[in-house]
Amino acid sequence: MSGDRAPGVVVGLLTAVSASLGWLATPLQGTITAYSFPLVGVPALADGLGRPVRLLSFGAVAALLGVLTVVVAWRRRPRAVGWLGAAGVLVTVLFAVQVGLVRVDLLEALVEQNTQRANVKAFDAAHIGGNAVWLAVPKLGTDTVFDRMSSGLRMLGFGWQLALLAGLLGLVSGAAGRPGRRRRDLLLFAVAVVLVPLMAGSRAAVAEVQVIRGQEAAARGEFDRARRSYEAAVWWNPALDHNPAFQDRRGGVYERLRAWDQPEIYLRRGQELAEARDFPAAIAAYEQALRIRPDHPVARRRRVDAYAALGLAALARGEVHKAIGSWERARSLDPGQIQIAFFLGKAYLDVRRTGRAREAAGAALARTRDALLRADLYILLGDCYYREREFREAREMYRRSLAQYSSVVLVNAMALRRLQGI
Amino acid sequence: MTGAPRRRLVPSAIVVTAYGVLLGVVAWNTYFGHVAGPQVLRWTGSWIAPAGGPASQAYFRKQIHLPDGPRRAWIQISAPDEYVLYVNGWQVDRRRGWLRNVSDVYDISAHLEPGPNVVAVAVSRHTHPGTSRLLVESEYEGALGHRMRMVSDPSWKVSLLPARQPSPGPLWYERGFDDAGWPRAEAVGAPRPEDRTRLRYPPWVVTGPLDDYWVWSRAGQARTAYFRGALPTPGGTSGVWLRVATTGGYVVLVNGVAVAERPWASEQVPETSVPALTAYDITPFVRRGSSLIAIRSDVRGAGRRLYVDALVMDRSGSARTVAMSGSWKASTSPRPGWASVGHDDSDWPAAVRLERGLAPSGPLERRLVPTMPPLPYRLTGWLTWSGFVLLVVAGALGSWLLAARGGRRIRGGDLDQALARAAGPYGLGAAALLLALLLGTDARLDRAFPYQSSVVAAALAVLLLGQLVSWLPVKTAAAPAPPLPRPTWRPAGLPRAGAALLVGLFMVGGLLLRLHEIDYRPLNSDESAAMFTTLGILEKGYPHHRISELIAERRSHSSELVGYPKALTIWLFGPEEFGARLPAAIFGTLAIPLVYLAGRALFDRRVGLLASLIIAVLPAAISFSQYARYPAQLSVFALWMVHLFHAAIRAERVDARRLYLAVGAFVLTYLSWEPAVLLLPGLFVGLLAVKRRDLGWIREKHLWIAVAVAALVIFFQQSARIIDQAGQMPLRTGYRDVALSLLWLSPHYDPLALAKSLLFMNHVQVISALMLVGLIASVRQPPWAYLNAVLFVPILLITNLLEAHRERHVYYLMPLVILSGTRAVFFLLDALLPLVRGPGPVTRLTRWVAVGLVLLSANDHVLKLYNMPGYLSPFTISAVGGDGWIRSAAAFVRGGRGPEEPVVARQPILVYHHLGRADYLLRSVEIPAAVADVAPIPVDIRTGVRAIFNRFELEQLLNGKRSAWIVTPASFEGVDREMVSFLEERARLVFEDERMRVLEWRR
Repeated sequence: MSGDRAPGVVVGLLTAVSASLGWLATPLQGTITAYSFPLVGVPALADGLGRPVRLLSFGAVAALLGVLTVVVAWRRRPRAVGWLGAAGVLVTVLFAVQVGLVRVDLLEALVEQNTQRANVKAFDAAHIGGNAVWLAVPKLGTDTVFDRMSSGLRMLGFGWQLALLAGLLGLVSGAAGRPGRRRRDLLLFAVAVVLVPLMAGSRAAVAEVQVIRGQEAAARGEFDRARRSYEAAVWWNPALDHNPAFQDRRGGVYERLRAWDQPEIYLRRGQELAEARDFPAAIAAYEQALRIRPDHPVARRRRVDAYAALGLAALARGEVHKAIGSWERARSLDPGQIQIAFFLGKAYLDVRRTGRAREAAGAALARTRDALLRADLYILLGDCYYREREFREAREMYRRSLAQYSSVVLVNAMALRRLQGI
Repeated sequence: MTGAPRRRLVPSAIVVTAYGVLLGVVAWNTYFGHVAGPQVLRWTGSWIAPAGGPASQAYFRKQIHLPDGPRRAWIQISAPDEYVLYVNGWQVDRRRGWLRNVSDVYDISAHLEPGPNVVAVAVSRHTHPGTSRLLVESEYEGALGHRMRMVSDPSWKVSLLPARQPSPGPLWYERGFDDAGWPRAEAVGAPRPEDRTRLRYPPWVVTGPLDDYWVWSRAGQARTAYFRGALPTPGGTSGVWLRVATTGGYVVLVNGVAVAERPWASEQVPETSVPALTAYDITPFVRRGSSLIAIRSDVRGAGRRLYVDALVMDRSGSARTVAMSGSWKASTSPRPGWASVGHDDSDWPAAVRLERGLAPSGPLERRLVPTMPPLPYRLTGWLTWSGFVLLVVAGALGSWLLAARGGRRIRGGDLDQALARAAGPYGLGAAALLLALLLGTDARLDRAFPYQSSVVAAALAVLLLGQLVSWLPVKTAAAPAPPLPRPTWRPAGLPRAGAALLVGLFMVGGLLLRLHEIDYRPLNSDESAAMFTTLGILEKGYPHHRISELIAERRSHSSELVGYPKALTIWLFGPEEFGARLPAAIFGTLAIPLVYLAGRALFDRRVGLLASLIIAVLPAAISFSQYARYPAQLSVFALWMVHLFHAAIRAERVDARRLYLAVGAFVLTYLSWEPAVLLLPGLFVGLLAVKRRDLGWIREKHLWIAVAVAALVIFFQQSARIIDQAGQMPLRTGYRDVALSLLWLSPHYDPLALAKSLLFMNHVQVISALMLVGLIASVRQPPWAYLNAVLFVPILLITNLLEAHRERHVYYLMPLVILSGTRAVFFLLDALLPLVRGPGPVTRLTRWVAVGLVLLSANDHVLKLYNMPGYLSPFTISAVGGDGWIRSAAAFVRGGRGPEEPVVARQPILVYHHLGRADYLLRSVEIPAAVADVAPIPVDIRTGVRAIFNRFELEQLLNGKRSAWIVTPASFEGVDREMVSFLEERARLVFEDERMRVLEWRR
């Protein structure tokens, strides 16, 4: 490989690696692979969780750019490398705009997955002591647009960072490789960097301005103005409906205006009751919100979370059957929940209903790619088979648990001990 | 002006712009911004410590009798490195730091009760020299107004052991514990300014009494009340803090900006009955003269009231409390815009004053919350900041032009030359500002240090002086100035012998630093294992050890060569710390001239000199030269290999002799630590970087022979390992056997792992940053590109394929980082500074200051830059670690143990080395285990002693003995919880220091 090809090839490989890195391993390895976040278009939302269209996803575009860059670099087209680098930067900028401003609904679904992982981690530490205690659970906030952007980029892991780096390198090497027309190219690029996000997120940006205006008005006690601003914000970007912090702010304003027909009042109330650990009252508040607006996404999600928490509280008191009842109710409301399947698997095993435990663990396995969670779920399955005196299957499950990850830093001590015992 | 000279002026403009940016940032933070300075704590007590010499840890207790329940109680603590504060058995806080007195102040009113109370503090010192000591200041105010102060004095009891009494009984920090047998602490002097007991916030936040009135609106039943009041804030304030207490929610607006909010409770949700007191730093929002504080408060419960007071501090450090109640006006239905400064509140009645001071309802919940102004305010702030910095940059550029014109009048020449000449002083000024910013990260100074008028004045004075010097007429100025030459700065005046002398001096200094306290710390677990392997060389001639009969002889397969130099020094000086670590110190010292030679060969002599000086004083280099394992030796062989390989390939034809020497160096490198094999792909990419379009190397037979030799060595070494380990049954692997795996699929994958543990290791950050800046420029310079390829390819591979990311695993790449970074330093200096014509004093001074800054950032002998963002670990700081722990624990056990009493150890190899005996392994999941050869029982993979897995096995073992000793690290992390509780209940703690515990079991 000659010297003038090398920078372009490195840029292309970096971009391609960024795509595969994000695709294969992101901090969240649940149903949604964060890297497959759509660049444009509306994703199909199946069973309450997002299953974005992968063809136009950030990862797919990054992979394509990577391959193209390698090809043009090989054919000694430094200027094309520069343009592809610019495209890489633009794709990342576009993505940041999508994550932070526009696709609030998908982002919230991802944050919800993260919350479920945090719950599973806490459950594992308290009741199992298995592998999920090692889960890395980033702190993700979605209160402000900056929180959302930061959360989205964190969930993508390092893929977007590599893509951005590769894009910038491509720009530099392209500019260095072809000194002519540099000023014009730079101007075009600057225009694109401004225009692309502007076109992609103009409505959402207006919505954010309205949110800020609403907040300022509420802080000053001008609740009528705040209400108007918040309602305008939802008109500009309906996906804000999925943002809990925004809904709580709306609830606060509606309550001050005594607008009791607004579901957000009950959302806020339910949240405060849940924080005070009065889960039945919180569920009642969410039910009230859902009576007013049956498809309210935040109310639906919070109701499931409250049932999950109610079950955990019952389990902490030793009331396993009550816990199972709460979790069954939660599962009926949202069959896609990983945490509920995980909790149910353990609880059914405790009450020796191994068939149901296996069914729950299997459902959770089908919904997560997270190695640590899967390791625990295989141990759970192994324990079920062990109870059923199916030792061969049990051994196989423990072995699968061990095979989930190989690391000298983390030790699947539980599976090791089970295998030694069996 | 022609195009070419203009292009050459670009670096000059960059230097001037850099000066402008730095000056803008410093000036903004000095005059307009707010960087909170430290708050010096005041003490009336003295330091107290255990009597009888230095102790790495001490446990302090103080019993106090309180006549009534507390309304207010606070305690202020300071101790070196780490403390844990308990009040009546509650752990209030744990604070940790390195090489400083950690300090804080706490509200402990919620933990105190009428009657006897116990305040207990555990202090652990992790650095040396010095002893564990404690400083306390506390005040209590009872419900009936009774006040009491408590300070650290000899009335405190102290122990070196956290005893339990009687066993099982209350712990040492609990109320029921009888400390009658504990000796009294010794007063060891009053706190001095150099003790630096400081906080980031004023202690008033916690300690300040609530002396003002609670207020509410005249409509007492109103749930929402709006308040407006003036806070006098005269010029020159260095900080303004606001405390707000209520049971409900509120929004605080300062001069119309909503800076803080506490949410109010919804209908039907119970409100807390205990008021929460929250403190806010409102300094950035106040105005000179007077500031408007507006508060909207929502309280639903019965106790509708609000408390607000403020602390205003001036630049001299004095502070005054401002009672706000007198200035409040309150309304329940204000007009829009009520919170703005210009709002007419003449129709607002004064707020109603309610009770004064603390309510008898009990203690407050106190919190410190950062202010969160709205986004537009923050955006405006950023824009103003950017505008100011741009203005200063414009000013710098303008002054540059003026200075150039002035210089041109005095010295003549054209404008380009004058501009180039005038840029030099800006470089010097920028260096001065960078030095000030660097000092801001020194642990002994505070982060607000660079932001003072004197720094701004100094930066301007340096610039002015520099300009004056650059205007001085030059005697030989008669001849017209030649066109701008390609800038260089070579130490032409320095003869080869001079450089050799300097490197010799660096070596002597480096050796002294490496030998200083080389045997202070006892050998740790890994070093002990390496010691046994080395003793195996002396016994049979190859590295191995066998301690237990339960498993076969264990041969070394990852660092085969490391033991041989050690065998010699151990044979000479004995199997102690000095003998074990001396080879590392020697290799660490040899790295100094080797870095010089490599730097000189790859770049030039000045790169070699600076890099060798950096490696001589770098704390990590010194630490690894006092570590009785592979890093120091490996780094020398690896650098030698990289240097030789470049020397072999840099010419058109491959130099066979140097190539085979490089192969020899590779063999030494590989046999010093196997995973260093990942340097090979780096060398290959380096070869491509040097040869580029020239593919003639493919036909070089010597190259292929070299590859074959290296492959054969790897093949035979791996075969030996496989054959040797065929009969062993390890239950899990350690780092030494680590195989390549797709780490990015691992849940703990961190692509920036090596950026932390290698590139941004403390004291390497500046060099690494410069190296990264130079990356793009290195592409066009084959030697530099080669060095970066050899460095970054292994980094990429280790990050993604090899789970060995700790600093010791990658230290062998450090000389390459330093060389590349040093090259970047001189590249930047060459590119930016020579625009000043000729080697004038200003330019020379600027270069020396820049080089000096890099040097200062790379060691902690002059500055202690521990507050600079980066990876901090005991390996990166001098004077971390104690001389006691296992040495003292082993001595203790040796003194009390009977001949037949077994020793149970968590780290058997460590205990075996220092105590001469370890019979059982108390197994944690982190320790690799194996299956014994003679029976199907798990054993420690290193020593072969039997492993105890659970409480049942432990009980069985101990019940069969009359007595036993358990030697364990201070933390039981990773050990079966049931085993831990069994030991804590049944065994007696007889020894403890900051890292080790000894428990004695008696049946």
